[in-house]
Amino acid sequence: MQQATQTLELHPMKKIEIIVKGDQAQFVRDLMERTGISGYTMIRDVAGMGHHGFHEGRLLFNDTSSLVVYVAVAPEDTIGRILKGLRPMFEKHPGVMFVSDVAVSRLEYFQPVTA
Amino acid sequence: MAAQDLHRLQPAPAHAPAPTGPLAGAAGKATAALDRVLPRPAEADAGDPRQWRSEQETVAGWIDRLRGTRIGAEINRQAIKWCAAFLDEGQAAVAMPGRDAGLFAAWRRLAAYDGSVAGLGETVAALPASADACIVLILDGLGIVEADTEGYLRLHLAALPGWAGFIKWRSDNPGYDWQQRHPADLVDYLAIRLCLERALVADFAGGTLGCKPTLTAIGAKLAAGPAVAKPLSPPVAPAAARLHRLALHLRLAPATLAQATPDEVAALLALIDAWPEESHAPVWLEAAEESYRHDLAAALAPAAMKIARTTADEPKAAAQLVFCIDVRSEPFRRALESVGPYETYGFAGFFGIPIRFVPFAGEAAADLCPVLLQPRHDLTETPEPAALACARRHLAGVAAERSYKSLIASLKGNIAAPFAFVESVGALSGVAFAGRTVAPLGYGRSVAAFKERLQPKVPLSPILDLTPKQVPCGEDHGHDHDHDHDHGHEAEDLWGLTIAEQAFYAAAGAKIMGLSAPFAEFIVLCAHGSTSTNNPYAAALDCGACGGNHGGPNARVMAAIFNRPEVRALLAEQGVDIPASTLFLAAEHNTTTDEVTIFNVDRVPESHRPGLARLQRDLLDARRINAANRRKRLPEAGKAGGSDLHVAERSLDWAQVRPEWGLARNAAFVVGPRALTAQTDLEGRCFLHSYDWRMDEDAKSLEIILTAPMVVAQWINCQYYFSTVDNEHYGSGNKTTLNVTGKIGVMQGNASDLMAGLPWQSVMAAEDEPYHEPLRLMTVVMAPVARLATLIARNSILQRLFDNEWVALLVIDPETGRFLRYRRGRTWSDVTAGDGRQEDDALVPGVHSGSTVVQPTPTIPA
Repeated sequence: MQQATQTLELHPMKKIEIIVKGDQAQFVRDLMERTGISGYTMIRDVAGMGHHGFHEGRLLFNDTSSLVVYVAVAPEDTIGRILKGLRPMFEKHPGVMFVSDVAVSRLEYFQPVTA
Repeated sequence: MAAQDLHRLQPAPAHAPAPTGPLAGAAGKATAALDRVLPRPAEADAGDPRQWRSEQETVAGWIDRLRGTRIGAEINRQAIKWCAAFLDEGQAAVAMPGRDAGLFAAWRRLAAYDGSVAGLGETVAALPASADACIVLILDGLGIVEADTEGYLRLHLAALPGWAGFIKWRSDNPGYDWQQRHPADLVDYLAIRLCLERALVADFAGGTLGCKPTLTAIGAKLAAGPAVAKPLSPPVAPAAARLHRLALHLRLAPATLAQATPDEVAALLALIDAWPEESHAPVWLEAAEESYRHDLAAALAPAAMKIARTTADEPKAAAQLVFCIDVRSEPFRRALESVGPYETYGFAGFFGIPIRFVPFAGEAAADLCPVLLQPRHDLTETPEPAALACARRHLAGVAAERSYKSLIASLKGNIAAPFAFVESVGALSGVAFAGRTVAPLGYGRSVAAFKERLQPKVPLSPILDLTPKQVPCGEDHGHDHDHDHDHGHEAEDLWGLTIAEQAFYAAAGAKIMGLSAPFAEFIVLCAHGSTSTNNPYAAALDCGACGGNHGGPNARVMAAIFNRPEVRALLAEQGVDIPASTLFLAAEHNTTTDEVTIFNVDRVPESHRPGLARLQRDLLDARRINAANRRKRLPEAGKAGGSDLHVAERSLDWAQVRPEWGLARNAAFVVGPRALTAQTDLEGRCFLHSYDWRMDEDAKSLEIILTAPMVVAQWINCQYYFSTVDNEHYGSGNKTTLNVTGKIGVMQGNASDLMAGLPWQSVMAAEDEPYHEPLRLMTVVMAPVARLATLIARNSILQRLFDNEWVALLVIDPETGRFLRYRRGRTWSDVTAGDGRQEDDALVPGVHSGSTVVQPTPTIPA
C-alpha cells in the first residue's frame, strides 16, 4: 500500500548562535531587536571554557555572572547586520558567535519586523 | 594611622624659606655642582597646543579651551533642561507633551520653539528625523573621521555621567512603566547633544570666527589666532631649600649636612626624587587599611582557635534570629545576645527569595532582591478570611487618602487655585508646619494614630501557592491596572510558587546559613528597613539586599513558607528536620529607631505565648542598649529625653539631615560561624554572613555567598569610599543645596548633573572631618583555604575583585589554624600571629609584612 507522503516545504535560513558573558547580554539583546529580528531564544546560566579560562554556570543569587547563549534564525541580510554590530563588541569582550544554515517551514514567521 | 590624620598633612610648599647659616654656604656649592648634574624637569609635552586633541575634547571643548567661551557648559545646561523635562515622572505641574514618540522625536518637535539657543530651529529642521541618521550627518559635517567617532561620542556621554547613566538604565529596563510610555535611549541623547553642539558651534564659527563649522575651517581660524601661552611648569625648589627641609625632618644639625660631599648630597636628593609626591597616597591608604585589618585579625584570633579546637554543641537557645548581613545588625545582635540565650545568624536580607511584591492596597510593585537578580516570582498579601470587613475599611481609608492627596496636588498645581487654596486652608498647614518643626515626635505619633484609625490594620497572609491574578476579595483593590502587570518579559498572570520551589528556597536558606539542629522554639527572620522624613536618600538607608526597600515582605513570605507542614516534610527528606514545636516568625528591625516589630503576633498559638512575651521583652531591652550606644556617635547627642526617644525623634524630624549613620564606617565582610565574632565588639563596621564550613563540603554555599552578598557589600563599600574621598564628583555634595528633580534623582542647585553618590552629611562628621573611614573592604572567610583557591579559579568575578585588589581576602583555615592573606597572582602569605617572625617594614611598597607577635585585644580601637 502506498502512503501519500507530503513533501516537506522547507526554506533556507541562517541561524546565529552567540555566547557572551552576562555583562554583554543586554547589548546583544538590544542589537538584535534593533536589526528587526522576529525573535530569539535565550539560554541562561551556561558554563563553559574559553580563552579566558573556565567559567562557572548557575550562581544562585547572581544572574549577571554566568554565560548566556542567544539563538536566532533570520534571513541572511538580517544576520549580516547582526554580525556587523557584534564585531566591535568581540574586539573588546570575550565571547563567540557561529552562523549556520538551517531550514524552516514557516517562512513568513521569521521575516524581519520593522521597528 | 587614622585616616582622619591623613588630610591634615599639608602638601609641601613650592617655595621653602631660604636656608641661612653654614648650610647656605655648603648648599650653595652643592647646588652649583648639582645643577650641572640633576635632570631638568620634563618639558610640557611638545606639539602645538592649538591643535584639536581628538581623544580629549569635543569641538566645543576645543573652542572653549582656546577662546575662553562656554559652549560646552551651554550644551550641558540645555541637555539637562531637556532631559529633566522628558524624564520627569510626575513632579512637573505641566508635563512635556509628545513624549510618547521617544526622547529625540519629542525634543525635535519642541526645539523649534526654544529661543534660548540661536539657530537651533533651523539646525533641527535641516536634519533628518531619525536619531542615528542625525548623528552620522553631524559627525560627517564636522569632518570627524570614523576612527575618531567612538572617542568623540564617548566624550559626549562622559560630560554628564549622571543623566547619561539614568538614560542607559531606562533603556536597559524596557519593562519599566515610564520607559514603556516615554522611551528614551542613549542614541537619542547623543543626537540631542550633537544637534546642540552643531547649532552653537555654527553660531560661533559663523559669527565670531567667520568660517564654516568644520574641523579644518575652525582649525585654520584658531591657528591664526593669538598664541596660547604654554602652561608654566611649577617652580622647582632650589636644591638647597630641599636639603634644608630634609635636614629638619631627619633632625640633622645643619652643620652635619654642610660637611657632606656633593656626591652624598646628590644621593640624598636622588632618594627624594625616586619617590615623588604622587606615589605617596596609595601607600598611606594601604597603611590605614592594614592597621585596621591587622587589629581585626588579632581580635578574631582567640575565637578562631577555640572553634578550630572544640566541636562542643552550644546550649539550647530560647530563639534563633536571622538578621541581614548589614553592618547595623552587628551591634543589635551583640546587644540581644547579652540580654538572653539567643543565637543570631546573618543572611542576605531578602532571605534568598527574589520576588516582585505588590503590597496589599498598594499600587506599584517593588523588586525585593539584589539588583544582581531578576525577580522570579510575583507575590502579594491578602486579608485573612475572617477580616474582610476590616479590609474593606482599610481600602476605603486608602482610597480616601489618595483622593485627598491628589486634590491637594491639583489645587497646588492649578494656575488659578493656589492663592485661594492658601487663603482658605493655609492655617491648617501652619499647624502641621509648627508641629513638625517644634515637636516632631508628638506630631508624628498623632498623625500615625489618626492614620491607623482611618486605615485599620488588616491581618494579612502572603499568597504562597499558585493563584491566578485576579482581585481576590471581590472588591476594587485600588490597583491601577496600568502599573502592576507587564513588568519585563517575564510577566506571569499568577501569584505564588509551586511547593517544590517553596521547599527549594527554604532548603537553600537553611543550608547556606548553616541552620541546623538543635532548633529553638522560635526562629525569627528579621529583615530591616529605615524610616526618615523628607529624605530623598531614604533608599540608601534601607536594605541593599532588597534593592533599596524594606525587607519585611520577604521575611513574612519565608516565615510562612517555613511554617508549612508540606514544606517541612520536603525539608525532612533533605535532612533538615525541623520539629513541629518550632515556630518561624517574621520581623523587621527599624535601623533608625532600633525597634523590632514582629509581624502577626496575634496568630501565634497559645503554647508559644509565654516564649513570645519573653522574646519581645528582650528585644525591647536590646533596643535600649543599642540606641544608647548609637546615640554616642550621633551628633547632637545629649538631647533631653531617654535615648530611644531621641532616635525615634530623628526618624520623624523633617529637618534632620542625618537620621542615622547608615552603613558609614563599613570595613569588612566576615563569613563564618557566629562564634568567631560573638566575643568581639566590631563597632558596627562588619557585614556578618553565617557560614559553617563543616556543612559545606562542595563549597557551593561559600560560592553563593562570595558571588552575591559579598559583591553587594563591595558596591556599598566603594560607594562610601568614593563619596568620602571626593564628595563633589563621586558623592552628591551638600544635602542642603540638593533639589529633587522629576522624582527620579537629585541635582545640585537648579541645573546640574544627576548626582549619584552619597551626600556630604552621610559620610562627614564635620568640616574636614570624615566620619566614614575610606578603606577597601576586607573579606574574612573561615574555611579551608583549598576551597577558596578553587572558587577563585572558577569565578571570574572573584578574580576581578581579589586580583585587582578591590577587596582584600583573609582566610582563617580551621584545619591548620593558619591565617592566610590572598596575594595577587593566586598566592597566599601566612600572616598568623604568634609565629615569632619579625615585623617587616610594612610601609615599603611591594613588600608585604610577615606575621607579628601581637597581644590579642578584645576590642578594636577607633
